[in-house]
Amino acid sequence: MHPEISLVLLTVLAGAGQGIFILLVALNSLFYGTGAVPSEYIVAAGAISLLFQVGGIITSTAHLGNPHRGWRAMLMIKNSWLSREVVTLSLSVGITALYLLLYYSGATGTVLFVTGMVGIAANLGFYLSCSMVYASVTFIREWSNAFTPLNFTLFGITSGFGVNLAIAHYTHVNTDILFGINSLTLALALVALIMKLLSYRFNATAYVSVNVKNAIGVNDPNIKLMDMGASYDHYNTKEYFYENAEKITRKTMFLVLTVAFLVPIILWTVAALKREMAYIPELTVIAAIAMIAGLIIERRFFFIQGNNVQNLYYANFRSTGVRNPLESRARKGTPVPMN
Amino acid sequence: MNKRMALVIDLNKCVGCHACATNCKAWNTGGDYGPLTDVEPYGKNPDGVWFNRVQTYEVGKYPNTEILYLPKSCMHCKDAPCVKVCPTSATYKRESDGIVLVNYEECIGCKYCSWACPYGCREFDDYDGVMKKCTLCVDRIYNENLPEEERQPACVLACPTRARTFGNINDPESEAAVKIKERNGYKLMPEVSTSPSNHYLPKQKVKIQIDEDEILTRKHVIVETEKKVSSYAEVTSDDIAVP
Ligand code: SF4
Ligand code: SF4
Ligand code: SF4
Repeated sequence: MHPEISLVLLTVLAGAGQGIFILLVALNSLFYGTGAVPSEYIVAAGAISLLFQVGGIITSTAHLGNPHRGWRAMLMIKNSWLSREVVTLSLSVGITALYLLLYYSGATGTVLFVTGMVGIAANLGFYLSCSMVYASVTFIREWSNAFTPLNFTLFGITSGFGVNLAIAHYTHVNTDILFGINSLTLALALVALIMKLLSYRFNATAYVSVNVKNAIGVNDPNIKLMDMGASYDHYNTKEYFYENAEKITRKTMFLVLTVAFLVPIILWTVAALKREMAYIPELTVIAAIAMIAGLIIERRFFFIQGNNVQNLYYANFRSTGVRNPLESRARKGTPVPMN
Repeated sequence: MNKRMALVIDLNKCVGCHACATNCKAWNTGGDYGPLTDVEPYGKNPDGVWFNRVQTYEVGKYPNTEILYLPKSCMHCKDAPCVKVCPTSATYKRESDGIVLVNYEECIGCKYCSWACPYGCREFDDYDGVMKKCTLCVDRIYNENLPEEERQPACVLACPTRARTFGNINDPESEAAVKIKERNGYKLMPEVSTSPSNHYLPKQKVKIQIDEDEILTRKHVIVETEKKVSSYAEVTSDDIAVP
């Protein structure tokens, strides 16, 4: 699929923003009134969480053909995951802002706790619906699997915690808590790395039960596209194809694994092993930036890897030198079963 | 029972002339669901919205190959995935006749419906920022300003080989339903759960018997009597003018 940068930024930034909020609420609820979590931290983390989420929303409107009626996307919450994504994201933004407002106006711990929990529910709802937008497209096998919701949630929370760690360093959070966040983030990042590897493995062998024979209804193994029915590229060849998909596969996978996971994991491990290192705030900032940047590459590659079955109709489409991965997989002998 | 309007396309008759596609474009760009915006129509890389595209495939191995023309427009699926995913309900399926339509006033242009369609039958209009697609010529088939015989989809009227039939496939008496039954009409991607309404009639191998004397008299060729002339010739549909 064509990697739409606005959607890449929406899913990564909003995901991280909500991860920041989740940890903020957790810390403030656990250590409320102890002074271990200073108000500078709450305000800074809350503001950055809002910035990430609103930034995601703003960039996502660039994807819409008619952004001025974007609000309409909330109407079909009963049927459409996209609708649910928009609703839960709006709720999350609203509750994050409300939480900050309540905190600022000196609300009691219980009020903050209840608001925070509602916010976390909205956050989890967002992770689920945002990922299901992709996972529910059954005609794109690389998206339509359990890794999509699991990874969107895990990566969002991990990157949010990573950003939190950096913020916490600069806002005088208690060192024991810092160490705790560091260890937790590191553990999550390790799991995330394993999940990413597993999902790459799954995608390498994923297949759909449709092939060009049943797509056009001719029972012959030799079917060649002679003319795609248009003089040049059009919506169907632009939206579902990425020209260099095959070329960049290996390089990008390596880049994603290094930047999004290995670099932060190394930095957080160093910090965890040698606790004083954790006091070098720059280290955690680099780790957080690397993870967010890496996840942007990861999400972009997630789009590129998606291969819609409608591409079968353009299976031998050569004008841009594209080969349909479904086709090459079939040639390598991976089963592409009829029926 | 509600109507289920559909196109039935005879691949045995289709000659790949693109008349359906061009007439579709001509009617719909000025119809209720137009315009079908073109980008750089006379430029190097012409692009634009088409509701119907005719693709050409070669089937078989040389020298035993055959050409297959596949005109493809929205299938008006019974269980349309594009309808289910639309966050605004801009895409909807009409109860009364099964036609799937897009309300341009409500569409926000998120393209989600097009991802969900396995047939690649939705076309995004960059200029209007909305999703467009075949309407089954809903502005023709019920249009009382048109003479009755013209209340047919533009593509059906344009087809020079009459490869396209339009009708209610829920009515077993309709021409469309009868053709599907008699000619083993099939659906594209039958294993996915979309249940498309449009059907295709398969290409057929036609076998006829030609007697020796028929060749002699008809073609006025001198055949050496001692040379055996095969009494059967296998002729594919391409060799025969289909009535
Ligand atoms: S063919 Fe595609 S656009 Fe048409 S109804 Fe089916 S899923 Fe929707
Ligand atoms: S592009 Fe329009 S019709 Fe399609 S899903 Fe989005 S709002 Fe609905
Ligand atoms: S039914 Fe009408 S809109 Fe659909 S392909 Fe035919 S001419 Fe085009």
